Amino acid sequence: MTLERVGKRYAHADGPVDALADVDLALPEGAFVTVTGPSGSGKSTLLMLLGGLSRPTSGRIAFRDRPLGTLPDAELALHRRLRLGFVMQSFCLIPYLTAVENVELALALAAVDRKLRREKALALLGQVDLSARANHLPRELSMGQQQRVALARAFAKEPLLVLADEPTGNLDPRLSRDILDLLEQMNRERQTAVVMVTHSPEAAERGTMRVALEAGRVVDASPGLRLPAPAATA
Amino acid sequence: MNLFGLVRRELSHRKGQAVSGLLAIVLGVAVIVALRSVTRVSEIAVATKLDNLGANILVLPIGTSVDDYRSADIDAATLPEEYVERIVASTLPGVDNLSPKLTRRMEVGGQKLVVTGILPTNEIASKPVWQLDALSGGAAHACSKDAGAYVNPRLKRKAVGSLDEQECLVGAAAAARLKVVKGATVDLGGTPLKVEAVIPETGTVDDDRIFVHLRTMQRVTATPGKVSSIEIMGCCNAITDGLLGKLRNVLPDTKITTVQQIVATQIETNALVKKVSFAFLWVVLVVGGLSIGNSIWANVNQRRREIGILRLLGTPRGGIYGLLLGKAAFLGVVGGFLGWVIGTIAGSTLGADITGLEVRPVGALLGTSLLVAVGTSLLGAFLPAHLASRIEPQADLGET
Repeated sequence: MTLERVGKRYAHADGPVDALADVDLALPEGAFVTVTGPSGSGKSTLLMLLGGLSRPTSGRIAFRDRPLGTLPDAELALHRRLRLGFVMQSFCLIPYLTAVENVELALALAAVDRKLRREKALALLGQVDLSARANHLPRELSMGQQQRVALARAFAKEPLLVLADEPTGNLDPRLSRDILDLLEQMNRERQTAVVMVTHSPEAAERGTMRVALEAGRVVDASPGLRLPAPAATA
Repeated sequence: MNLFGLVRRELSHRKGQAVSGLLAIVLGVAVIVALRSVTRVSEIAVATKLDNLGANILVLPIGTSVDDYRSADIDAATLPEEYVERIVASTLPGVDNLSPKLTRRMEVGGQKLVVTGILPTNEIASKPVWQLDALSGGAAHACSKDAGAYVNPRLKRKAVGSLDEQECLVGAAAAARLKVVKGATVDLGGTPLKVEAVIPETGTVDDDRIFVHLRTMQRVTATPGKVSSIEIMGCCNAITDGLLGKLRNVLPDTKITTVQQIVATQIETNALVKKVSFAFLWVVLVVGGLSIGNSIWANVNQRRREIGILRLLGTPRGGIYGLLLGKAAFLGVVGGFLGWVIGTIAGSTLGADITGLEVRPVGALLGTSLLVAVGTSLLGAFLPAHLASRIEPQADLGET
């Protein structure tokens, strides 16, 4: 995925606000990238743009050379459905579906065969150590368990990229470590790229590549994340 | 788990909300079904009453008094028999049987009696009170060249099989006055006629009459090709739908009357109830639609976060429409069915008390109930579903 001079400007009564400006990044496939920065630095905005949940007001975002910014809503939805997984701070589970049904829902939306859905969902829950809780509703699970269900759901359809927005923000240090271990493990075993937004320096350390944002601009990025320089013209 | 499963699980998760949304639809449909069930039975009852009266429309020469429907044609002026053909040719819906007759007061065996010339098959087909084995010769069929020509084939009543031009039927009271029995001979204007049967007492003017073949009567009274009246057995609904007016257009120089007044009150009540049920239909459409719309709207507000999650996972806008309209349609099906069940029970119990008639479940109303309920629900849910489909994926997810 590449971002070229990407900006996001919001209208406000006091004047326009630049949440992101001139962001150039190249996210390699299979990488574990962490995005850090203070509140209001544009971390979540960046994640929304990467996930096709919001459109840039300037610049170009491309996923395997396909520009996301100009795709119609239905195609963006399809893109999310088939290629992306999400892990959010507030877990984002459907409250009246059991753990296994929440995972199955993502598979159903990705048009996975009906017979395979349950099997795959249970396997994923087994991988996050929740086999015994497969038939529990979210309210019957601890916060750590809910986040593990969200992880299982995000990886179930074998996406190309998982976007995680403060996945440990609501968890205590021990549970945070568990979740980060699982994210690392999934990234390593499945070769699924992960972009994780975090406040926590400890969590940021888990990434194989890092981006630091400040006031909507990239202030630091691992060498592998920089856009290749344009070929010189004669 | 798919979108339908999601609707099912959400409904079972929020049962109370679903029930309150359903209430208006169920009650509205129930009222319509109850009213229509009762009206339908009442309509059948009216039709049966008219049917049992036999012919229920009378075509008479202009100027004839109709103070007494049953004897209006006695000594009336005449009409051309060709008018019967004119009615047949008009193919008006609701004309089940035509019975031309020529009636005169005549001296028979020293007694002043009313003699009526009839076309036997047509006459018997229009008089259920005559459906007696003693008189019948099997299903209605032509017993002479012209007899039976005006009988609707769906009338399967028994008819006289062999009243020919030398025979007659004698009413019970007339037979007593003439002191004749079956097989006797009576003299009609110099024509001897064999008594084919004595009609058992009917309690009508027919008891005092002698019935002969129309051709015999026309010959004896020297009025060939003439009749004094044409009795029509009209379908009840056709009568209320303006059959009389249509007949008057076909035969403008005649007087056309009906026995509809006998059941006029019931017909008026039926029409009123029909109107009320249509008014209720509108009430259901408006109130039920608003109720479901309100319920879905509340549901959308309650589920903004959930809809955001579904959009996050890649559900397209069409999927959100499907989710909410699917729920509305499901509520409509359940509401329509429950409304039909409750309405049918109410119609059966209250209808029997009010009308004294046995009200049976009307299966055809189930389809209408479902159609009204589902249509209303979908209409009511459309706007909330449209607004829900505009919810952005990141909305209300509470992320930083």
